[in-house]
Amino acid sequence: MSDIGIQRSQGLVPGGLAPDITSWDAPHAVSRAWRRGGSFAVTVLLGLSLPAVLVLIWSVAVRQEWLAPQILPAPSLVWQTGLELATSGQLAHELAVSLARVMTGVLLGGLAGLAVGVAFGLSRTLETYAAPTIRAFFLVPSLGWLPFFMLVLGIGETLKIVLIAKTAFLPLMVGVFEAIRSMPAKYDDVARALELDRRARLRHIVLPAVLPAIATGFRLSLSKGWKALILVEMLASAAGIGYLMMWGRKSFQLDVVFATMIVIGLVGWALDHGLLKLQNRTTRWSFHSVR
Amino acid sequence: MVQTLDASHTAPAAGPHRSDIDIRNVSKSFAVDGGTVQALTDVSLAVRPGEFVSLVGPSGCGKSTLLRLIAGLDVPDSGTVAVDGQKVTKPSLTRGIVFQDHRLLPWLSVEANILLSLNSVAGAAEEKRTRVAELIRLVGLSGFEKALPHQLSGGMSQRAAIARALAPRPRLLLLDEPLGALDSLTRGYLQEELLRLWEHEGIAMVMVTHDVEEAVFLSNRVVVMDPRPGRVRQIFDIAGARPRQRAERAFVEVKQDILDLLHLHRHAA
Repeated sequence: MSDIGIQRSQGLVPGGLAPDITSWDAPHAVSRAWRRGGSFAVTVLLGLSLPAVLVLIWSVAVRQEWLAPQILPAPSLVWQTGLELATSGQLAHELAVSLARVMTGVLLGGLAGLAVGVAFGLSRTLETYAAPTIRAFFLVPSLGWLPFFMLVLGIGETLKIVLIAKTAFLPLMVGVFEAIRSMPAKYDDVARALELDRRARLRHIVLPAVLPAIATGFRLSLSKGWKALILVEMLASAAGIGYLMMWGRKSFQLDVVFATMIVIGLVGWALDHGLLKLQNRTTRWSFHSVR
Repeated sequence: MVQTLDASHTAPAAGPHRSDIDIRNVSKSFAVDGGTVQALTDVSLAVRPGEFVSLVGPSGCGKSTLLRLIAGLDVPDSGTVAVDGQKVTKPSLTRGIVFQDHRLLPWLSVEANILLSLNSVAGAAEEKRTRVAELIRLVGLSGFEKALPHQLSGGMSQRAAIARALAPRPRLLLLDEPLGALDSLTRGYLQEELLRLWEHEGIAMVMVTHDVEEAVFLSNRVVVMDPRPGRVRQIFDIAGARPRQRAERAFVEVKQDILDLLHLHRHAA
Protein backbone atom coordinates (compact mmCIF):
# COMPACT_ATOMS: atom_id res chain seq x y z
CA MET A 1 0.00 0.00 0.00
CA SER A 2 2.63 2.44 -1.10
CA ASP A 3 0.15 5.20 -1.68
CA ILE A 4 -0.10 5.62 2.07
CA GLY A 5 2.22 8.50 2.70
CA ILE A 6 1.90 12.02 3.91
CA GLN A 7 2.51 14.60 1.27
CA ARG A 8 4.93 17.29 2.27
CA SER A 9 2.40 20.02 1.94
CA GLN A 10 2.65 21.08 5.53
CA GLY A 11 3.96 24.48 4.56
CA LEU A 12 0.43 25.30 3.50
CA VAL A 13 -0.78 25.01 7.04
CA PRO A 14 -0.51 28.25 8.97
CA GLY A 15 1.11 27.60 12.32
CA GLY A 16 1.99 24.02 11.50
CA LEU A 17 -0.15 20.94 11.88
CA ALA A 18 -2.64 20.32 14.63
CA PRO A 19 -0.95 18.49 17.51
CA ASP A 20 -2.82 15.22 16.98
CA ILE A 21 -1.44 15.04 13.47
CA THR A 22 2.17 15.92 14.22
CA SER A 23 2.48 12.70 16.14
CA TRP A 24 3.09 10.98 12.79
CA ASP A 25 6.61 12.28 12.76
CA ALA A 26 7.27 13.23 16.34
CA PRO A 27 11.00 14.13 16.14
CA HIS A 28 10.33 16.60 13.33
CA ALA A 29 7.45 18.05 15.24
CA VAL A 30 9.64 18.68 18.27
CA SER A 31 12.37 20.40 16.30
CA ARG A 32 9.78 22.38 14.38
CA ALA A 33 8.18 23.55 17.61
CA TRP A 34 11.58 24.52 18.99
CA ARG A 35 12.41 26.45 15.87
CA ARG A 36 9.02 28.10 15.98
CA GLY A 37 9.64 29.17 19.61
CA GLY A 38 13.08 30.52 18.69
CA SER A 39 11.84 32.31 15.61
CA PHE A 40 9.02 33.85 17.64
CA ALA A 41 11.49 35.65 19.91
CA VAL A 42 13.47 36.79 16.86
CA THR A 43 10.28 38.02 15.18
CA VAL A 44 9.33 40.05 18.26
CA LEU A 45 12.83 41.55 18.48
CA LEU A 46 12.86 42.44 14.79
CA GLY A 47 9.38 43.93 15.07
CA LEU A 48 10.51 46.12 17.98
CA SER A 49 13.71 47.33 16.30
CA LEU A 50 12.03 49.94 14.11
CA PRO A 51 10.05 51.54 17.00
CA ALA A 52 13.32 51.66 18.97
CA VAL A 53 15.04 53.50 16.13
CA LEU A 54 12.10 55.92 15.86
CA VAL A 55 12.23 56.69 19.59
CA LEU A 56 15.97 57.28 19.24
CA ILE A 57 15.50 59.76 16.37
CA TRP A 58 12.70 61.37 18.35
CA SER A 59 15.02 61.84 21.39
CA VAL A 60 17.75 63.31 19.22
CA ALA A 61 15.23 65.65 17.58
CA VAL A 62 14.08 66.87 20.99
CA ARG A 63 17.62 67.27 22.30
CA GLN A 64 18.74 69.17 19.20
CA GLU A 65 15.51 71.21 19.35
CA TRP A 66 14.66 70.57 15.68
CA LEU A 67 11.11 71.48 16.63
CA ALA A 68 9.82 73.69 19.44
CA PRO A 69 9.33 71.69 22.70
CA GLN A 70 5.64 72.75 22.71
CA ILE A 71 5.17 70.95 19.39
CA LEU A 72 7.43 67.95 19.92
CA PRO A 73 7.47 66.81 23.57
CA ALA A 74 10.27 64.59 24.82
CA PRO A 75 9.68 60.82 24.79
CA SER A 76 10.24 60.73 28.54
CA LEU A 77 7.49 63.33 29.06
CA VAL A 78 5.10 61.40 26.81
CA TRP A 79 5.91 58.22 28.71
CA GLN A 80 5.26 59.97 32.02
CA THR A 81 1.99 61.47 30.79
CA GLY A 82 0.94 58.12 29.44
CA LEU A 83 1.74 56.54 32.80
CA GLU A 84 -0.28 59.20 34.62
CA LEU A 85 -3.23 58.74 32.30
CA ALA A 86 -3.02 55.02 32.88
CA THR A 87 -2.70 55.11 36.66
CA SER A 88 -5.43 57.76 37.09
CA GLY A 89 -7.78 55.39 35.29
CA GLN A 90 -8.68 58.00 32.72
CA LEU A 91 -7.02 56.11 29.88
CA ALA A 92 -8.79 52.89 30.78
CA HIS A 93 -12.08 54.74 31.00
CA GLU A 94 -11.76 56.46 27.61
CA LEU A 95 -10.48 53.26 26.05
CA ALA A 96 -13.40 51.29 27.44
CA VAL A 97 -15.83 53.83 25.96
CA SER A 98 -14.14 53.64 22.55
CA LEU A 99 -13.86 49.85 22.53
CA ALA A 100 -17.51 49.43 23.50
CA ARG A 101 -18.48 51.71 20.62
CA VAL A 102 -16.32 49.97 18.06
CA MET A 103 -17.45 46.50 19.14
CA THR A 104 -21.14 47.41 19.01
CA GLY A 105 -20.79 49.17 15.67
CA VAL A 106 -18.69 46.47 14.03
CA LEU A 107 -20.98 43.73 15.31
CA LEU A 108 -24.14 45.46 14.06
CA GLY A 109 -22.70 46.58 10.74
CA GLY A 110 -20.77 43.37 10.24
CA LEU A 111 -23.74 41.10 10.88
CA ALA A 112 -25.89 43.21 8.56
CA GLY A 113 -23.16 43.01 5.90
CA LEU A 114 -22.91 39.27 6.43
CA ALA A 115 -26.66 38.80 6.01
CA VAL A 116 -26.84 40.97 2.89
CA GLY A 117 -23.72 39.32 1.45
CA VAL A 118 -25.21 35.83 1.93
CA ALA A 119 -28.53 36.97 0.42
CA PHE A 120 -26.81 38.46 -2.64
CA GLY A 121 -24.56 35.43 -2.93
CA LEU A 122 -27.49 33.02 -3.01
CA SER A 123 -29.92 35.10 -5.09
CA ARG A 124 -28.93 36.57 -8.44
CA THR A 125 -32.25 38.41 -8.73
CA LEU A 126 -31.69 40.24 -5.48
CA GLU A 127 -28.15 41.07 -6.55
CA THR A 128 -29.29 42.55 -9.88
CA TYR A 129 -31.86 44.79 -8.24
CA ALA A 130 -30.17 45.97 -5.09
CA ALA A 131 -26.40 45.46 -5.24
CA PRO A 132 -25.42 48.55 -7.32
CA THR A 133 -27.40 50.91 -5.08
CA ILE A 134 -26.12 49.41 -1.87
CA ARG A 135 -22.53 49.41 -3.05
CA ALA A 136 -22.71 53.04 -4.21
CA PHE A 137 -24.36 54.00 -0.94
CA PHE A 138 -21.58 52.46 1.09
CA LEU A 139 -18.75 53.62 -1.12
CA VAL A 140 -19.34 57.24 -0.09
CA PRO A 141 -16.72 57.61 2.67
CA SER A 142 -17.91 57.65 6.26
CA LEU A 143 -16.67 61.20 6.63
CA GLY A 144 -18.90 62.22 3.73
CA TRP A 145 -21.93 60.93 5.58
CA LEU A 146 -20.93 62.61 8.83
CA PRO A 147 -22.57 66.05 8.29
CA PHE A 148 -25.87 64.44 7.31
CA PHE A 149 -25.74 61.89 10.12
CA MET A 150 -24.93 64.62 12.64
CA LEU A 151 -27.99 66.63 11.60
CA VAL A 152 -30.29 63.64 11.73
CA LEU A 153 -28.88 61.70 14.68
CA GLY A 154 -27.32 64.46 16.73
CA ILE A 155 -23.85 63.90 18.20
CA GLY A 156 -24.81 61.22 20.75
CA GLU A 157 -23.87 57.55 20.89
CA THR A 158 -26.16 56.68 17.97
CA LEU A 159 -24.02 58.73 15.60
CA LYS A 160 -20.86 56.84 16.49
CA ILE A 161 -22.48 53.43 16.35
CA VAL A 162 -24.16 54.13 13.01
CA LEU A 163 -21.00 55.49 11.48
CA ILE A 164 -18.91 52.51 12.58
CA ALA A 165 -21.64 50.10 11.49
CA LYS A 166 -21.73 51.77 8.10
CA THR A 167 -17.95 51.43 7.80
CA ALA A 168 -17.99 47.79 8.87
CA PHE A 169 -20.81 46.79 6.53
CA LEU A 170 -19.07 46.82 3.16
CA PRO A 171 -16.00 44.63 3.78
CA LEU A 172 -18.17 41.79 5.08
CA MET A 173 -20.86 42.14 2.47
CA VAL A 174 -18.39 42.09 -0.42
CA GLY A 175 -16.16 39.42 1.10
CA VAL A 176 -18.91 36.94 1.84
CA PHE A 177 -20.71 37.61 -1.42
CA GLU A 178 -17.58 36.88 -3.43
CA ALA A 179 -16.74 33.81 -1.38
CA ILE A 180 -20.16 32.29 -2.06
CA ARG A 181 -19.95 33.05 -5.76
CA SER A 182 -16.47 31.57 -6.10
CA MET A 183 -17.40 28.34 -4.31
CA PRO A 184 -16.54 25.35 -6.49
CA ALA A 185 -19.82 24.12 -8.05
CA LYS A 186 -18.73 20.50 -7.81
CA TYR A 187 -19.67 20.45 -4.13
CA ASP A 188 -23.29 20.70 -5.27
CA ASP A 189 -22.89 17.20 -6.73
CA VAL A 190 -21.47 15.96 -3.44
CA ALA A 191 -24.32 17.51 -1.44
CA ARG A 192 -26.89 15.93 -3.74
CA ALA A 193 -25.20 12.53 -3.88
CA LEU A 194 -25.05 12.48 -0.07
CA GLU A 195 -28.73 13.51 0.11
CA LEU A 196 -27.95 16.51 2.31
CA ASP A 197 -30.98 18.68 2.99
CA ARG A 198 -30.88 22.49 2.81
CA ARG A 199 -29.86 22.88 6.44
CA ALA A 200 -27.08 20.32 6.32
CA ARG A 201 -25.81 21.83 3.08
CA LEU A 202 -25.66 25.31 4.62
CA ARG A 203 -24.02 24.03 7.78
CA HIS A 204 -21.51 21.59 6.34
CA ILE A 205 -20.73 23.09 2.95
CA VAL A 206 -21.65 26.75 2.45
CA LEU A 207 -20.70 28.13 5.89
CA PRO A 208 -17.32 26.39 6.23
CA ALA A 209 -16.48 27.46 2.69
CA VAL A 210 -17.11 31.13 3.44
CA LEU A 211 -15.79 31.13 7.01
CA PRO A 212 -12.33 32.41 5.97
CA ALA A 213 -14.00 35.27 4.09
CA ILE A 214 -16.08 36.07 7.15
CA ALA A 215 -12.97 36.18 9.35
CA THR A 216 -11.11 38.35 6.82
CA GLY A 217 -14.14 40.61 6.48
CA PHE A 218 -14.46 41.09 10.22
CA ARG A 219 -10.79 41.88 10.50
CA LEU A 220 -11.04 44.52 7.79
CA SER A 221 -14.25 45.88 9.33
CA LEU A 222 -12.68 46.20 12.74
CA SER A 223 -9.60 48.10 11.57
CA LYS A 224 -11.69 50.41 9.38
CA GLY A 225 -14.22 50.84 12.17
CA TRP A 226 -11.50 51.69 14.66
CA LYS A 227 -10.15 54.44 12.41
CA ALA A 228 -13.64 55.80 11.72
CA LEU A 229 -14.37 55.87 15.44
CA ILE A 230 -11.27 57.89 16.31
CA LEU A 231 -12.24 60.40 13.62
CA VAL A 232 -15.80 60.82 14.81
CA GLU A 233 -14.66 61.03 18.43
CA MET A 234 -12.30 63.82 17.47
CA LEU A 235 -15.07 65.71 15.68
CA ALA A 236 -18.06 65.09 17.90
CA SER A 237 -17.65 63.50 21.30
CA ALA A 238 -17.26 64.11 24.99
CA ALA A 239 -15.59 60.82 25.78
CA GLY A 240 -13.43 58.19 24.20
CA ILE A 241 -9.79 57.93 23.22
CA GLY A 242 -10.24 60.18 20.16
CA TYR A 243 -11.81 62.81 22.38
CA LEU A 244 -8.87 62.59 24.77
CA MET A 245 -6.52 63.28 21.90
CA MET A 246 -8.59 66.26 20.75
CA TRP A 247 -8.70 67.57 24.29
CA GLY A 248 -4.91 67.37 24.43
CA ARG A 249 -4.61 69.33 21.20
CA LYS A 250 -7.05 72.02 22.29
CA SER A 251 -5.29 72.54 25.61
CA PHE A 252 -1.97 72.46 23.73
CA GLN A 253 -0.73 69.43 25.65
CA LEU A 254 1.08 67.66 22.86
CA ASP A 255 2.35 65.04 25.30
CA VAL A 256 -1.25 63.90 25.74
CA VAL A 257 -1.72 63.89 21.95
CA PHE A 258 1.38 61.76 21.48
CA ALA A 259 0.47 59.37 24.27
CA THR A 260 -3.01 58.80 22.86
CA MET A 261 -1.65 58.40 19.32
CA ILE A 262 0.59 55.62 20.56
CA VAL A 263 -2.26 53.98 22.48
CA ILE A 264 -4.57 54.19 19.43
CA GLY A 265 -1.91 52.59 17.27
CA LEU A 266 -1.17 49.84 19.79
CA VAL A 267 -4.81 48.99 20.44
CA GLY A 268 -5.57 48.97 16.71
CA TRP A 269 -2.64 46.66 16.14
CA ALA A 270 -3.71 44.35 18.99
CA LEU A 271 -7.27 44.11 17.63
CA ASP A 272 -6.01 43.36 14.14
CA HIS A 273 -3.48 40.82 15.40
CA GLY A 274 -6.11 39.02 17.47
CA LEU A 275 -8.40 38.69 14.48
CA LEU A 276 -5.52 37.60 12.27
CA LYS A 277 -5.04 34.62 14.60
CA LEU A 278 -8.74 33.87 14.32
CA GLN A 279 -8.54 34.17 10.55
CA ASN A 280 -5.67 31.69 10.42
CA ARG A 281 -7.66 29.22 12.47
CA THR A 282 -10.48 29.29 9.94
CA THR A 283 -8.16 28.57 7.03
CA ARG A 284 -6.31 25.59 8.42
CA TRP A 285 -7.71 23.58 5.53
CA SER A 286 -7.05 24.70 2.00
CA PHE A 287 -8.51 24.30 -1.46
CA HIS A 288 -5.00 23.52 -2.77
CA SER A 289 -5.60 19.81 -2.79
CA VAL A 290 -8.88 20.26 -4.60
CA ARG A 291 -8.69 20.59 -8.31
CA MET B 1 -37.06 4.49 1.22
CA VAL B 2 -35.10 5.32 4.36
CA GLN B 3 -31.57 4.11 4.30
CA THR B 4 -30.54 2.38 7.51
CA LEU B 5 -27.30 1.24 8.96
CA ASP B 6 -28.45 -2.33 9.32
CA ALA B 7 -25.26 -4.34 9.65
CA SER B 8 -26.90 -7.66 8.86
CA HIS B 9 -25.31 -7.93 5.45
CA THR B 10 -21.62 -7.31 6.00
CA ALA B 11 -21.02 -10.60 4.26
CA PRO B 12 -21.37 -10.47 0.47
CA ALA B 13 -24.83 -9.07 0.03
CA ALA B 14 -27.61 -11.29 -1.17
CA GLY B 15 -31.05 -10.89 -2.64
CA PRO B 16 -32.65 -7.52 -2.10
CA HIS B 17 -29.37 -5.77 -1.29
CA ARG B 18 -27.92 -6.27 -4.74
CA SER B 19 -29.17 -3.84 -7.31
CA ASP B 20 -29.49 -4.27 -11.01
CA ILE B 21 -29.57 -1.49 -13.55
CA ASP B 22 -31.80 -1.28 -16.60
CA ILE B 23 -31.02 1.50 -19.06
CA ARG B 24 -33.44 1.76 -21.99
CA ASN B 25 -33.13 3.94 -25.11
CA VAL B 26 -31.55 6.81 -23.20
CA SER B 27 -30.68 10.05 -24.99
CA LYS B 28 -29.17 13.16 -23.47
CA SER B 29 -27.98 16.45 -24.96
CA PHE B 30 -26.38 19.51 -23.44
CA ALA B 31 -26.52 23.16 -24.46
CA VAL B 32 -22.97 24.33 -25.10
CA ASP B 33 -22.11 27.80 -26.41
CA GLY B 34 -25.47 28.32 -28.06
CA GLY B 35 -25.47 24.94 -29.82
CA THR B 36 -26.44 21.53 -28.51
CA VAL B 37 -24.11 18.58 -28.06
CA GLN B 38 -25.65 15.13 -28.28
CA ALA B 39 -23.95 13.35 -25.39
CA LEU B 40 -25.88 10.08 -25.65
CA THR B 41 -28.13 8.65 -28.36
CA ASP B 42 -30.40 5.70 -27.81
CA VAL B 43 -28.22 3.87 -25.30
CA SER B 44 -29.48 0.64 -23.77
CA LEU B 45 -27.57 -1.41 -21.24
CA ALA B 46 -28.37 -3.84 -18.45
CA VAL B 47 -26.17 -4.47 -15.45
CA ARG B 48 -26.77 -7.63 -13.40
CA PRO B 49 -26.68 -7.71 -9.61
CA GLY B 50 -23.13 -7.97 -8.31
CA GLU B 51 -21.60 -7.41 -11.72
CA PHE B 52 -18.52 -5.25 -12.39
CA VAL B 53 -18.99 -3.28 -15.61
CA SER B 54 -16.54 -0.81 -17.12
CA LEU B 55 -17.36 1.92 -19.62
CA VAL B 56 -14.47 2.83 -21.94
CA GLY B 57 -14.26 5.07 -24.98
CA PRO B 58 -12.73 8.27 -26.29
CA SER B 59 -13.54 11.63 -24.72
CA GLY B 60 -16.97 12.83 -25.70
CA CYS B 61 -18.50 9.36 -25.90
CA GLY B 62 -20.80 10.21 -23.00
CA LYS B 63 -19.53 7.59 -20.56
CA SER B 64 -19.41 10.01 -17.65
CA THR B 65 -22.83 11.35 -18.64
CA LEU B 66 -24.20 7.81 -18.54
CA LEU B 67 -22.78 7.35 -15.06
CA ARG B 68 -24.33 10.62 -13.89
CA LEU B 69 -27.68 9.46 -15.25
CA ILE B 70 -27.44 6.24 -13.24
CA ALA B 71 -26.47 8.28 -10.18
CA GLY B 72 -29.45 10.56 -10.73
CA LEU B 73 -27.26 13.68 -10.86
CA ASP B 74 -28.68 14.31 -14.37
CA VAL B 75 -31.91 13.14 -15.97
CA PRO B 76 -32.19 11.81 -19.53
CA ASP B 77 -34.03 13.75 -22.28
CA SER B 78 -35.72 10.53 -23.33
CA GLY B 79 -35.62 6.87 -22.33
CA THR B 80 -35.41 5.56 -18.78
CA VAL B 81 -32.83 4.55 -16.23
CA ALA B 82 -34.19 2.11 -13.67
CA VAL B 83 -32.44 0.58 -10.67
CA ASP B 84 -34.19 -2.41 -9.11
CA GLY B 85 -37.14 -1.68 -11.35
CA GLN B 86 -37.51 1.83 -9.97
CA LYS B 87 -37.04 4.81 -12.24
CA VAL B 88 -34.09 7.00 -11.23
CA THR B 89 -35.06 10.66 -10.86
CA LYS B 90 -32.66 11.98 -8.23
CA PRO B 91 -29.50 10.94 -6.41
CA SER B 92 -29.76 8.39 -3.63
CA LEU B 93 -27.45 7.00 -0.98
CA THR B 94 -28.36 3.54 -2.27
CA ARG B 95 -26.21 4.45 -5.29
CA GLY B 96 -22.78 5.53 -4.08
CA ILE B 97 -20.61 7.60 -6.39
CA VAL B 98 -16.87 8.30 -6.49
CA PHE B 99 -15.60 11.15 -8.66
CA GLN B 100 -12.24 11.45 -10.39
CA ASP B 101 -11.27 14.32 -8.12
CA HIS B 102 -12.02 12.93 -4.69
CA ARG B 103 -14.32 15.85 -3.77
CA LEU B 104 -13.76 15.42 -0.08
CA LEU B 105 -14.73 18.57 1.78
CA PRO B 106 -11.37 20.26 2.46
CA TRP B 107 -12.42 21.57 5.89
CA LEU B 108 -13.43 18.17 7.25
CA SER B 109 -11.13 15.40 8.45
CA VAL B 110 -11.19 12.00 6.77
CA GLU B 111 -13.43 10.74 9.55
CA ALA B 112 -15.84 13.70 9.36
CA ASN B 113 -16.02 13.44 5.59
CA ILE B 114 -17.10 9.82 5.78
CA LEU B 115 -19.49 10.58 8.64
CA LEU B 116 -21.18 13.26 6.51
CA SER B 117 -22.43 10.55 4.16
CA LEU B 118 -24.41 9.14 7.10
CA ASN B 119 -26.01 12.54 7.84
CA SER B 120 -29.28 11.58 6.17
CA VAL B 121 -29.22 8.00 7.40
CA ALA B 122 -31.32 6.83 10.33
CA GLY B 123 -29.30 5.51 13.25
CA ALA B 124 -27.65 6.39 16.55
CA ALA B 125 -24.51 8.51 16.57
CA GLU B 126 -22.56 5.68 18.18
CA GLU B 127 -23.62 3.26 15.48
CA LYS B 128 -22.51 5.70 12.80
CA ARG B 129 -19.09 6.18 14.45
CA THR B 130 -18.62 2.43 14.48
CA ARG B 131 -19.52 2.24 10.81
CA VAL B 132 -17.04 5.01 9.95
CA ALA B 133 -14.26 3.28 11.87
CA GLU B 134 -15.10 0.03 10.08
CA LEU B 135 -14.86 1.74 6.68
CA ILE B 136 -11.57 3.43 7.55
CA ARG B 137 -10.15 0.01 8.39
CA LEU B 138 -11.63 -1.51 5.26
CA VAL B 139 -9.97 0.98 2.90
CA GLY B 140 -6.69 0.90 4.86
CA LEU B 141 -6.66 4.42 6.25
CA SER B 142 -6.24 3.55 9.94
CA GLY B 143 -4.18 6.23 11.69
CA PHE B 144 -5.35 8.95 9.29
CA GLU B 145 -8.81 9.53 10.78
CA LYS B 146 -8.02 13.10 11.80
CA ALA B 147 -6.06 14.11 8.70
CA LEU B 148 -7.40 16.81 6.44
CA PRO B 149 -7.71 16.10 2.72
CA HIS B 150 -4.82 18.37 1.71
CA GLN B 151 -2.52 16.33 3.93
CA LEU B 152 -3.28 13.13 2.04
CA SER B 153 -1.72 11.78 -1.12
CA GLY B 154 -3.91 11.29 -4.17
CA GLY B 155 -4.33 7.58 -3.54
CA MET B 156 -5.27 8.08 0.10
CA SER B 157 -7.81 10.76 -0.83
CA GLN B 158 -9.43 8.36 -3.26
CA ARG B 159 -9.53 5.65 -0.60
CA ALA B 160 -11.35 8.09 1.67
CA ALA B 161 -13.75 9.01 -1.14
CA ILE B 162 -14.51 5.32 -1.72
CA ALA B 163 -15.10 4.85 2.01
CA ARG B 164 -17.49 7.81 1.97
CA ALA B 165 -19.47 6.27 -0.87
CA LEU B 166 -19.58 2.83 0.79
CA ALA B 167 -20.46 3.97 4.32
CA PRO B 168 -24.25 4.19 3.82
CA ARG B 169 -24.20 0.60 2.45
CA PRO B 170 -25.16 1.40 -1.13
CA ARG B 171 -26.43 -1.45 -3.29
CA LEU B 172 -24.51 -0.11 -6.24
CA LEU B 173 -21.23 1.79 -6.57
CA LEU B 174 -20.56 4.18 -9.44
CA LEU B 175 -16.94 5.12 -10.14
CA ASP B 176 -16.11 8.01 -12.48
CA GLU B 177 -12.46 7.52 -13.47
CA PRO B 178 -11.61 7.00 -9.81
CA LEU B 179 -7.95 6.20 -10.47
CA GLY B 180 -7.46 8.46 -13.48
CA ALA B 181 -5.42 11.10 -11.67
CA LEU B 182 -3.05 8.70 -9.90
CA ASP B 183 0.45 7.58 -10.85
CA SER B 184 0.65 4.14 -12.42
CA LEU B 185 2.12 2.38 -9.38
CA THR B 186 -0.58 3.72 -7.04
CA ARG B 187 -3.19 2.91 -9.65
CA GLY B 188 -2.04 -0.71 -9.71
CA TYR B 189 -2.37 -0.98 -5.92
CA LEU B 190 -5.77 0.60 -5.91
CA GLN B 191 -7.04 -1.66 -8.70
CA GLU B 192 -6.31 -4.60 -6.45
CA GLU B 193 -7.98 -2.77 -3.58
CA LEU B 194 -11.08 -2.12 -5.67
CA LEU B 195 -11.22 -5.78 -6.59
CA ARG B 196 -11.00 -6.71 -2.92
CA LEU B 197 -13.75 -4.22 -2.00
CA TRP B 198 -15.98 -5.46 -4.82
CA GLU B 199 -15.59 -9.03 -3.60
CA HIS B 200 -16.12 -7.94 0.01
CA GLU B 201 -19.25 -5.88 -0.64
CA GLY B 202 -20.76 -8.10 -3.30
CA ILE B 203 -22.53 -5.16 -4.95
CA ALA B 204 -22.59 -4.15 -8.59
CA MET B 205 -20.01 -1.59 -9.63
CA VAL B 206 -20.00 0.53 -12.76
CA MET B 207 -16.73 2.25 -13.56
CA VAL B 208 -15.81 4.81 -16.20
CA THR B 209 -12.15 4.56 -17.20
CA HIS B 210 -9.64 5.51 -19.89
CA ASP B 211 -7.45 2.60 -18.97
CA VAL B 212 -8.32 -0.51 -20.98
CA GLU B 213 -6.04 -2.76 -18.94
CA GLU B 214 -7.74 -1.58 -15.76
CA ALA B 215 -11.14 -2.35 -17.29
CA VAL B 216 -10.09 -5.85 -18.33
CA PHE B 217 -8.42 -6.52 -14.97
CA LEU B 218 -11.55 -5.68 -12.98
CA SER B 219 -14.65 -6.22 -15.10
CA ASN B 220 -17.11 -8.94 -15.96
CA ARG B 221 -17.98 -6.89 -19.00
CA VAL B 222 -16.34 -3.96 -20.77
CA VAL B 223 -18.64 -1.62 -22.68
CA VAL B 224 -16.87 0.20 -25.52
CA MET B 225 -18.57 3.44 -26.52
CA ASP B 226 -18.36 5.66 -29.61
CA PRO B 227 -18.38 9.45 -29.53
CA ARG B 228 -20.48 12.17 -31.17
CA PRO B 229 -23.15 11.11 -30.60
CA GLY B 230 -22.32 8.86 -27.66
CA ARG B 231 -23.54 5.30 -28.13
CA VAL B 232 -22.60 1.70 -27.28
CA ARG B 233 -20.26 0.22 -29.87
CA GLN B 234 -19.57 -3.25 -28.53
CA ILE B 235 -19.66 -5.14 -25.26
CA PHE B 236 -16.84 -7.53 -24.35
CA ASP B 237 -17.38 -10.39 -21.93
CA ILE B 238 -14.25 -10.94 -19.90
CA ALA B 239 -13.82 -14.52 -18.76
CA GLY B 240 -11.35 -15.83 -16.23
CA ALA B 241 -11.13 -16.02 -12.47
CA ARG B 242 -9.82 -13.10 -10.45
CA PRO B 243 -7.23 -11.88 -9.66
CA ARG B 244 -6.42 -11.90 -13.36
CA GLN B 245 -2.86 -12.19 -14.60
CA ARG B 246 -2.08 -9.22 -16.79
CA ALA B 247 0.55 -11.12 -18.75
CA GLU B 248 -1.71 -14.06 -19.56
CA ARG B 249 -2.49 -14.66 -23.23
CA ALA B 250 -6.27 -14.37 -22.99
CA PHE B 251 -5.91 -11.17 -21.01
CA VAL B 252 -3.54 -9.57 -23.50
CA GLU B 253 -5.69 -10.66 -26.43
CA VAL B 254 -8.95 -9.17 -25.20
CA LYS B 255 -7.13 -6.02 -24.16
CA GLN B 256 -5.67 -5.78 -27.66
CA ASP B 257 -9.07 -6.34 -29.26
CA ILE B 258 -10.55 -3.45 -27.28
CA LEU B 259 -7.59 -1.18 -28.04
CA ASP B 260 -7.85 -2.04 -31.76
CA LEU B 261 -11.51 -1.13 -31.72
CA LEU B 262 -10.75 2.19 -30.04
CA HIS B 263 -7.89 2.97 -32.44
CA LEU B 264 -9.98 1.97 -35.44
CA HIS B 265 -12.39 4.63 -34.48
CA ARG B 266 -9.65 7.18 -34.02
CA HIS B 267 -8.39 6.62 -37.58
CA ALA B 268 -11.89 6.78 -38.95
CA ALA B 269 -12.44 10.11 -37.21
